[in-house]
Amino acid sequence: MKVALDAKRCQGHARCAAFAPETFVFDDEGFSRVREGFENVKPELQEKVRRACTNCPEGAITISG
Amino acid sequence: MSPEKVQGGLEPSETVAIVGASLAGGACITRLRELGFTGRIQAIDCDPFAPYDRPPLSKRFLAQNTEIETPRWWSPDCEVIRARAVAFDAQRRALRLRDTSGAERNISADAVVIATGAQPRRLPIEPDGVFALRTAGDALALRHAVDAGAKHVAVIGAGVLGTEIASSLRQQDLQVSMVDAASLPLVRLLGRGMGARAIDWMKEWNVDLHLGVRIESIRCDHGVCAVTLGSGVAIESDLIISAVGARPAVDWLINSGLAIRDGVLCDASGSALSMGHNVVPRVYVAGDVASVECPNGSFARDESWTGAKQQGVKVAETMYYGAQQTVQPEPPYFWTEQFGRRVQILGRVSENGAVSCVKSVPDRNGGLFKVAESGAHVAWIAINAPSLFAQVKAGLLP
Ligand SMILES: Cc1cc2nc3c(=O)[nH]c(=O)nc-3n(C[C@H](O)[C@H](O)[C@H](O)COP(=O)(O)OP(=O)(O)OC[C@H]3O[C@@H](n4cnc5c(N)ncnc54)[C@H](O)[C@@H]3O)c2cc1C
Ligand code: SF4
Repeated sequence: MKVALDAKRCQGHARCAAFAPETFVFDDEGFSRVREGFENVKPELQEKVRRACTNCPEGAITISG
Repeated sequence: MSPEKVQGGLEPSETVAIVGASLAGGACITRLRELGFTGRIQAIDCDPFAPYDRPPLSKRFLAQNTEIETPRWWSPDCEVIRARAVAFDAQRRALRLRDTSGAERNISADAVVIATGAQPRRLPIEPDGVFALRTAGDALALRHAVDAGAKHVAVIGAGVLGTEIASSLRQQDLQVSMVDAASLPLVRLLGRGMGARAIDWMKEWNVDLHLGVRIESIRCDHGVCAVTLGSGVAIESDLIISAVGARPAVDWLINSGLAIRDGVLCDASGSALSMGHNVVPRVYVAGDVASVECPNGSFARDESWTGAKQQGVKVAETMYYGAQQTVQPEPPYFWTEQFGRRVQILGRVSENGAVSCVKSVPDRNGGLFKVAESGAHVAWIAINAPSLFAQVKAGLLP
């Protein structure tokens, strides 16, 4: 499973980090991105990342594979 | 530790019917599948575009002509029935459905979720031809009218929906007049203190504001529209949009046996209540249509994206396990984008709450604000300050 974040869509609601704090980090502007090295989601983080995806109000997080 | 199923929990052979294939209903379906429910799920909705997200309709869809898309929270693992539910018998969990041709049929299910949301409230003096905005169809009609050459729009209602619409239309360079009986905009969302500041945003964007006024009459024939105020002033426009609030979609539940009072009453687990306030077995309520019992015994309706999402998840768990699950509730969250401001509200602002600025971000017309009620902190408001908001969310600011 892979995760990607569309920076153009992110509005900084900070919900992804609440659901999956290991995977998402914020830049200085308050927008989210996938933490380096976390693009391939480890099995133990997959449920959290799935939840972050369905809880992002902007549809900015995409999961594949 | 995963919870145990108790008697009354869902069996794989059972069928769940969900009325309303939008956010609350969709979140419920997705959660049921995550939990491992393999039985049949029927999702009933009369809106040909459902499922989709509503927040963009008054924002980027109007201002930047974006597309309507299938949301991430939707799970396609269900049968969608395009029909309107017109009657319900809660004891028998029997639904009467009417499709677009007018044909009716009855279905029944082992568990039913009521997630029919809300619909625009209309003023009694509104004639035909006044626009409202709730559905994708409404948004398309509005965009069409703008594309057809409307130059001047009158918006009735300076709440969150009316002000977002006004902002999106100003971005397209339309002339906008806004009318409200209240003397301040956005009071329900931001309180009076911040509402007073919001007047400046709207003036900065050249919105023609008419606040604290009474509407005498509304006229709308063939693109010649006018809102006449108590003072005698007539605001002429090509188009009128009404945004005076929403009411729960409960018309189809009148003879259902369920308790209805500004929404369908349910307990904290999402289980529907009868007229005698007893739990009705295996009938659940979620989203904007739900009037949920609070710890102090009162009932409240939440009209927000995160609220509807959480309630959909909650009823899925109650239904699947046969009993309420204890989950840490998230604090209320709402946002709005308007007049170059991205506003994020964590907690619930009271109308007369005291607003204080924690940190100003003047180069972005923004900052972080705290709201207190009788000395106690009730909410945070961040304006164009997502990084400060992220710190608040992470608990880094006191
Ligand atoms: C324009 C707009 C902008 C918004 N912006 C924000 C925002 O920025 N932030 C935020 O937090 N919230 C926002 N909201 C509120 C948020 O969208 C709602 O709280 C949320 O949509 C509620 O979800 P729901 O599933 O309960 O109801 P709804 O989304 O209203 O869905 C109900 C569904 O039930 C269907 N239905 C109704 N009656 C029947 C029937 N009798 N038979 C069959 N189907 C039926 C409808 O067609 C609809 O698809 C906005 C709402 C609107 C309209
Ligand atoms: S939840 Fe979505 S919009 Fe919010 S910060 Fe995360 S990615 Fe961005």
